[in-house]
Amino acid sequence: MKTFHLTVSSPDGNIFDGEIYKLDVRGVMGELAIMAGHIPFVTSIKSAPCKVWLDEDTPKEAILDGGLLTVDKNGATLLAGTFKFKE
Amino acid sequence: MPNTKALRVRIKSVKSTEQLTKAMGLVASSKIRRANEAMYRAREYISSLEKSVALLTCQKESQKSPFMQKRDTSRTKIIIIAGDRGLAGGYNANIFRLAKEYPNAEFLPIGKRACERYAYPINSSERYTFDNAMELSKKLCDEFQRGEFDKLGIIYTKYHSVMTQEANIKWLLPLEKSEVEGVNGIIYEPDHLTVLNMSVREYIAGNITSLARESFACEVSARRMAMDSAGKNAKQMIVDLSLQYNRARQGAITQEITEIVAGAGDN
Repeated sequence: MKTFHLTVSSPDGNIFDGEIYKLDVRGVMGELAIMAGHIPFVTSIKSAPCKVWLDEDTPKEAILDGGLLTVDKNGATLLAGTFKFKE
Repeated sequence: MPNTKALRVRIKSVKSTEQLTKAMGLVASSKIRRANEAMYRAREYISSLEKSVALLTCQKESQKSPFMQKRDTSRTKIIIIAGDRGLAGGYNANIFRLAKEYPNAEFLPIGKRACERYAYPINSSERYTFDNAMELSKKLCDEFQRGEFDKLGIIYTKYHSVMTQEANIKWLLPLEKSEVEGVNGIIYEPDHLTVLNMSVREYIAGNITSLARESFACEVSARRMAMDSAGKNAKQMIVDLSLQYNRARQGAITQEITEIVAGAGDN
C-alpha cells in the first residue's frame, strides 16, 4: 500500500499532519480522490464532507467549509477555514 | 509642613492602584500562553497559504486576474487591528501613529479601541473568528473587483518577543507576482485564473484572522509589561510617600515636644 503525506491546515493550526492512503474531497468540478503519486495539482474545494483514508479500510470522515487543495511531489496540502473530524 | 492626612490618603490610593495593576498583570499573564499558541498555529496556516497562493501568482497568465491589476493608488482601504482595552503601554498608540501616515485611506477597524476611534459598530479583536474575517473578505473582494478601491492593506502589531512588538503594515491587494521555480506541469482545475480568483478570499480572510491573533498576543504581552512597570513605579511611590509621611509625622511630634518643653520652661 503506497501512502503520501497530507497536511490539513486551518487558522487553528495544522489539524492533520501525517501519512495517508487516500483523500476524498469535493472540488469545484466534482468529487475527486487523491492517492500517492498524483500529478502536481491545484484546485478549489467546496464546503462538503470529506474522507481521509489512513489505510485501505479506515476512512475518517470530516467536514470542511471550502478551501484550497495543493498536490506536489512532497504530498498534499489542504487549506480550509474550518476542518473538523467527525467523532 | 506637609499635611500628614493628605499623605495618608495618597499612600492608600497608590496602594489600591498597585493592587489593580497586579491583578491586570496576572490576567494578562494567564492569557499570554493561550494567545501565543493561537498565534503560532495561525502562522503555520499563513505560511502554507502563502506557499499555495505563490504557486498561483507566479504564472504569467495570473497577471490577467483582477486581483493582480495595479491601478492608481489614491483609493486605499486599510484594515486596522487594535486592542479591546487600554492599559497596554504604547500598544494602541503605536497602531494609531502608524495609521496617521495614511491620511487619505479609509479605515476598517477591528477591536473596540479602533472601532471607537473610527466610529464603527463595536467588534472584538480578541474573539475575531475566521467567519467574521470571511464576511469582511468577501465584501472587500467584491468591491475591489468592481473597482471601488485600488489597494488594500492591514495594520497590525508584529510579535518579536514578550518585550518587543512593533506596529506594521502588510499590503494584501493587489497581489504581487511571486517567484517560484519548478512549477511547470501543474494542473489547475477548472483553470488557473478561476482557482486564483477563488482563493483570494481565503487568502485575505486567513491573513486577517492570523494577524488578529498575532496582534492579540502582542496586546497581552504589552499589557503584562506595562502592568509590571506600573506595579514597580507604584511600589517606589509608596516607599517615597511613606518616607515623606514619616518625616512629617516625626516633624509634628518634635514640634509638639519643643512647644511643651518651651511652655514648661516659662513656668
